[in-house]
This record gives sequence, C-alpha cells and structure tokens, in this order.
Amino acid sequence: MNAIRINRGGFLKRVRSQKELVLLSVPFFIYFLIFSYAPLWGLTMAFQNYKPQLAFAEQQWVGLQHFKDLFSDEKFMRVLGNTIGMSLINLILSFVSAIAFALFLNELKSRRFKRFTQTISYMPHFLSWIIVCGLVANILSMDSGILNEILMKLGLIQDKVHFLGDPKYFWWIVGLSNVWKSMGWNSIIYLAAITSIDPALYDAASIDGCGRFKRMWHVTLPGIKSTIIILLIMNAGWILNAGFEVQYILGSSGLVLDVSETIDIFVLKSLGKAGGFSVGTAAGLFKTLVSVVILTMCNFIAGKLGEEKLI
Amino acid sequence: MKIKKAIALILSFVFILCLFGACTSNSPADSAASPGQNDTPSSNDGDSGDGDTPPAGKDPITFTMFVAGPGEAPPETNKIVKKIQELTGVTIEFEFLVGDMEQKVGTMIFGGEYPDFIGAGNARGQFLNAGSFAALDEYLPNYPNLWSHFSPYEKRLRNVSEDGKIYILDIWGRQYRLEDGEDDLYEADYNGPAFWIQKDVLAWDNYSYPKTLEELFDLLERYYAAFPTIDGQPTLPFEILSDGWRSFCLKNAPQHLVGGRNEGDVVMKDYNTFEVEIYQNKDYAKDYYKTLNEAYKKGLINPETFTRLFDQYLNVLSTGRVLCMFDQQWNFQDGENVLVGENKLERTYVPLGISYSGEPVAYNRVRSNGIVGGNGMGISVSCKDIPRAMEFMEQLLSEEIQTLMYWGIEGEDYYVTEDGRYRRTPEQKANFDNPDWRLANAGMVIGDQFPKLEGRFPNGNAVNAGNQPEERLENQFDYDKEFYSHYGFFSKSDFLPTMANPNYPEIWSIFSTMPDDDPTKIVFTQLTELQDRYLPGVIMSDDFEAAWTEYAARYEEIDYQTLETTIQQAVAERYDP
Repeated sequence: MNAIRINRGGFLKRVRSQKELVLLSVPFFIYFLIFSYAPLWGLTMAFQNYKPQLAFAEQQWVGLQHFKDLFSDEKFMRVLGNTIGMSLINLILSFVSAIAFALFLNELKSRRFKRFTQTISYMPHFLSWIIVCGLVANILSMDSGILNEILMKLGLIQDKVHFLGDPKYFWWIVGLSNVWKSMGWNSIIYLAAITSIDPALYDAASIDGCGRFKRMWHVTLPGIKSTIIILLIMNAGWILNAGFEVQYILGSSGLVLDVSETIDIFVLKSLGKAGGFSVGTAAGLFKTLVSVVILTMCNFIAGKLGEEKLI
Repeated sequence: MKIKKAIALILSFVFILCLFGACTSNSPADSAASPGQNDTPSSNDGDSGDGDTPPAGKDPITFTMFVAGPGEAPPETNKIVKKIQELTGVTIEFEFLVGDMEQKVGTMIFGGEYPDFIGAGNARGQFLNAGSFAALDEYLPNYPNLWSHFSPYEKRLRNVSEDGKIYILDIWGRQYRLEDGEDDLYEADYNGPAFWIQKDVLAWDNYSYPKTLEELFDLLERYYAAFPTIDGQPTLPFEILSDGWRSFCLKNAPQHLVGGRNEGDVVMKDYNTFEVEIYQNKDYAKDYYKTLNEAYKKGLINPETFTRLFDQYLNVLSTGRVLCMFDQQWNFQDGENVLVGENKLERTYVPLGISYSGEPVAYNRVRSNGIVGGNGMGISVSCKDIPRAMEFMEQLLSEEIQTLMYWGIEGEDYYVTEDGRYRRTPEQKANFDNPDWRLANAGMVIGDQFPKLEGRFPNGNAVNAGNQPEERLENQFDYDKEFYSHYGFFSKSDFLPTMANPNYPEIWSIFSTMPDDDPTKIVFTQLTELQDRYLPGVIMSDDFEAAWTEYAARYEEIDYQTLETTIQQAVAERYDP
C-alpha cells in the first residue's frame, strides 16, 4: 500500500515535504518568468510585418518571409561573414593571450611585481569602449599618432599608414583592441585555476629533470585544461557576438564599412528602416539560434573528450 | 520550525511584492503629476498646489517633454523658468537626447509610452508614422495666438501627414516683418550650407573672393604651400566630414554648384513643372568629386578626414588649422566657438557661394517664406491634458513671454531707451552670450522647443536679442569689422546673394516624414547607403575614372527613376505660393 502511494503521489509528496524550499524559489521563478520568458513573446515580431502602432491582433503575419529576405540579402551575408571573422579573431587572440599571460605571470618570482602587473593589466577592463576607441584612434592617427611616428622613425614605412581607413587592418584592430582591454581580466580565472594545482607535482617534475618550460607544458597547462575547455564552450556560444561598440565607433566610415558591420549593427540600423522591427528581430533570433546550436555542439564534443560538461 | 516557515513565507511575499513594485512604480508618480484628467483646463479640483500661487482658476501642472536633440534642462532656480511657471502654472520637465537617436526613439515608440510633448527634431518621421502624435485639428483654431501664427500655412502643416491632419507644429520659420524697408537688417547671420573658408586665407590673398572650384582650390594650395603648419600642427586645407547622417558635408555640394538651394539629394530642374533629378551620379557631381580627387592627390585633403568622427572633426577645427570645408555653420558652430573664445578671429569662417557658372550663388540664403511644415514639435497621444498643453503654447506665443524668453526681464537683462528700443549693456550682453549663464538665467531653453515668433515685434524691436541691428554693429569684433569693410559687407551673410523662395518645402524634409515602408523611402535609403559607402573611396582613388564607373554602375542597379516621379508629385502637392 505504502509503496503504491509513493509512486502515485511521488512528485506531490516530494513537493509537500520541501514546501519551504519551493516557496523560497517562487520569487525567482516569477522573476525569470517576467523578465526572461515573457519578453520572448516579442519574437513573434520576426514573423510579422510588425508596426508598433497596431495591436497584436491587427499585425500582418508573413511567416518566414523576413528570414528568406535576410539570406538572399547580399549585405546580410557580408555582415554575417564580418561577424564570424572578427569573432574568431577575437576568440583566438583573447584566448591565447589570456592563457599565455597567466602562465607567464605565474612564473614570476617577485610577488610584489606579479601583483602590480596583474592589477595594471586588468584595469583596462573597466574603461568603457568609447574611451578605448578614442585611445585607439589617437594611437593609429596619421596626424600625430604614436604608431605611425614610431614606424616612420624606425624607417619601416615611407608614408604614414591610414590604419583606420584601410579595410585590411580593420579586423585586426578590433581583435588587438579586445586583447588590450580584456587580456588581464580574462587571465584572472586561469591564475585562480593555477593556484589549485598541487605544488608537489612541480617538485616531482623538477626531480624528473623538467625545466621551466617543460613544467609549464606538462604540469600547469594540463592542470588548467578543464577550465580552458569550459571557458571555450562558454565563449563559443558567443560566436556571433563580435562586439558592437568598436565596430560602430571606429568603423562607421564608408572606407571600411564593408568589413566593419556586424549583426548587432545591422539590427540597430534596421530599426530606422522599413519593417525594421521585424527584420531586426529576425536577425537577432537567427543569432540566438546559432549560439544555442554551437553551444550544444561544443558541449557534446567536450563530453566525448572526457571533459566536464557545462550543461 | 514554525518560525522558519513563517520567515520563509514572509520573505517570499516580500520578494513578490518587490517584483510587482518594480513594474508599477511609475503609476503613482504619474497620477500625482496630473491633478485632473479633466478635459477643461480651467476646472479646479481643489487640489492645492505646492506653495506657488497659480493664476486664478489654474492648477499647477507638470508636463514632460522629450527633445530628440542634444541639450540641457534648465535648473529649477532659473528665474525666467520660474516666471513662466508663475504666469502659466506649467512646469516643463525636459528630457534631452543622450546617445543614439534611432535607438532611443525606437525604444520609446516600441514601449508606446510618451512624454506629454515631443520635440521631434530629426526623428519626426519615426514619431509621426508610429502614430505618436495627437491630432490637433480640433484644438488649433481655438487658440488665437497659435491660430494666427499657423493658419496661413495650414496646408503645409497638413501636408506632412498621410491622413492630412495636423500633428506637428513648426517651431521655426514664421518671420514677422514690418515692411518698413529695414526688415533685412533683422535677419540672423547665415548659418546654412556653403564652402566655409577661414578669413585669414582670404585676407592673405588680398581679400580675394573665389567664385569657382578652381579658384578656391588654387587658393587653398597656395596658402597651404605658404603655411604648411598652423600653431605648430600640420595645416588641413580641406576637410570632408562623413560621419553618419552628417555626411551631407560629403555629398551636398553639387546641388549648390549648379545654383540650387538645399533640397538634399535632388536638384530641381524646372521650377514650373517641378521636374527633379537625383544628382549624385550626374556629370556635375562627377566634376565636383573629380576636383576633390585631384585635391586629394595634391595632398590638400587628408585621408583621415573620412574616418574622423564628428567630435574629432570639431576638435581639429577648433585648433584653427582647417582652412576650408563644405558644411553648414550650425553643424560646426561648436568648434568655431572655441576659436572665438581664444580670440583667433582670423581662423573663423565666412561662406563662399562657389558655383560652376563663376557667379556667386545663394546656396541656402533663401528669403523666408514662413514655416516649412514638419520641422517642430507635437503633443503626444499620452499627453495627460491636451487643452492645457495647447493653452501653454498659446501663452508662450504672447509678446510678453517671448520678450521674457529672448530678452529677459526689463531692468535686469535689458533696458529700454527713450525711443523704445531694447538695448543691453556690455555686461548684460556678455552674460547672455555665456552658455552657462544662459542655462541658469535665461528662457530660450523653453522657447527654442516651442512655436515662436521670429523677426520683429510690432514695436519694431527684434524678437531675439541677438538680432537687434544696432547692437550687432556695435558688438562686432574689430577684426571682423575691418575684414568685412574690405568687401563692403555688413556681416558674413553678405558673402552670399539672396534667392527668392521657390514656395515649396525643402525636399529633404518631404523624405523625413515619409513612412518607412514607402517604396520611395526604401529607394532613398538604398541611395544614401550607396553614396556613404562609395564616395570616400572615389575621392581617394588612384584611378578616378574606374572608381567612378563602378560607383555609377552600382547606382544604376537602384530604381531611382520612381523616386524622381514621386518627388515631383509630392512637390506639386505642397506648392504653396
């Protein structure tokens, strides 16, 4: 008798026995319902010719028309290419630089110097992009920009280079600005992971005849491998987020527009255009779908490789 | 256990309350701000005000206003704002645009909640087509000041909207003239499009007066050779701003070179039939860009000019090393003000009416013909009390309040001479010229956002203190006086001839209120994107012909002919002599 009742009313009974906990979680449940799930309703705009002045029932439904338009739009395809290109550059540069920086910082003998460097290096994280872009524009300026001055003095170039006006430099300017801004910050988590490595492993490696680089390679890196993979999965989901501010501020000139526009800028600009709300939403929805797919894929691969999974 | 449960229960309850509190916190403030939803402005709900005694029969009321342009709200202590509050019982809470306009306006429209007043600015089309404005047709004739101000231009007000109703009231454009032969002296300084050149460049060349592109760029080249640096920094002979919507500096010159006024992206070919043409792919545009291309190759145009943002442009301009640019003065005014502040008057600018014909042309120095239609503000559909809002604007238009806003308080900010002229002491004028003082003590911050008088009061004085002619003459800097005397001019406006008004609104303003999904607007957007994308490259190209051919071919892919016929119709509809 008892066993049957547990099976039948198992869920309810469990709820009843945990009702304080359930009660405590109700506010959060409501919070997410209101602020995370209710707005999803707005995604219906992607399937309508949305006009803000009309009520929901009056909107005209167009099915997948906006998606078809997007993918037959030469401009959107270019924007998509830009986004993926810049995103990959950002991902690889910021990943490699943050890990390398953490490894090198870890090898520093002087604690004081190490702390000092670490603090300095993550400061740029707190600057807003508009300031960083101002700095970048000044450094790269032809007028009195320091980079051009140095290159001229060294005799590496004959004429000043118009860095911000030349499409071939643009992606790299974005990538390197990102590195400058976020390297120190990103390395914090690796440094934290490194501290959890058992010091005995280093001693053992030394006894086995490993030098500094071999210890970094065989002890430190494997020690933070799972952190690296988790962060990679998390970042891979953002593959269509190549950022927005740098491209918008530094790339608005007609000279580099072809390589600077990202999906986010496309969405923003479509706001002021015909059917902009719908087209913008469609582009945003597409972006989200890609993120979810890639995240799931990376997670699956990580699982196959025997690493910890994120979800 | 019981206590724990109770705590859990209370906590969750508090959380939930917080959540809902966040959602609804706006409503109490709203209802507090609107003492009565009543439609009759004179009704007294017995709702006692907060200390100030409003005029009989009027509750104090607070209206909110969004202005789609930069600005700063006046402090509460501003004496004119207080005075207007006393006279009308109305307090205005301003919100000026910060950041990106499209984004801000887009989210506002999306939310569907508007302030009481909307200063539409360049976002007029977005607001209008989203149905943000309340129709004012039934209200307007009930207010004598407003009605006499606008009724001559009723057609223009109505032409702005698809359904022919009145939504936007122009805040500029109605010039009051006395027709005593002196009206032109009251005209404000020209601040529109032209090739603006540093006074020193002309002075150095024995006060020459270039009339063609060749003469202009020849002069810039010679001056640049003589002064490769200014104050130790490299001279920038010709700047072209192409940042965002301000790319008119890049594109709009050809329409003026052939003698037209500022229509935007079309040239009026025939003022009788209103036949228009898109000109950015025509030969007269090509000639202009070719001249720029040659200037670029000679080093007269710094490539960096195309990547400069608006702030950076103002910045280089304020160093005094930019010799010349095609721009509209209101756009670069902030940069020029720095030069005035540093007393570098020889580095400030005068307009040149460069043309292909070799005779100076008017550019946009067109005699005023009243309001344009659509260039203004409106009352939003969420306005809590439309009649009261209208009444407020009605009161603002009175001579008394106009004088308060644009001259100040008699005896404090200006004095009246025996023959009835309004004048200011040098100190009073200096105060008025100081933007910080103005914000804290003057009323134009309100006046500028609402329909206003311009030109002259019936008593002969200028409506705006800055346009009183005797004062302008007395206060002209010695350098300027001397400079203009070489040409026999009174002010910088005189560098351009005047032009009769063609009696239809500037064509760019027709685009600005067109619905976004209008096919014409879509073509227009395509053209704009194409031009912004290609023209800098064309100007910087090694092989101009090849670059131009590619650009022109791209142009042909767009169906701009339909645009031309639609505009022709639109202009014919709006023609109003």
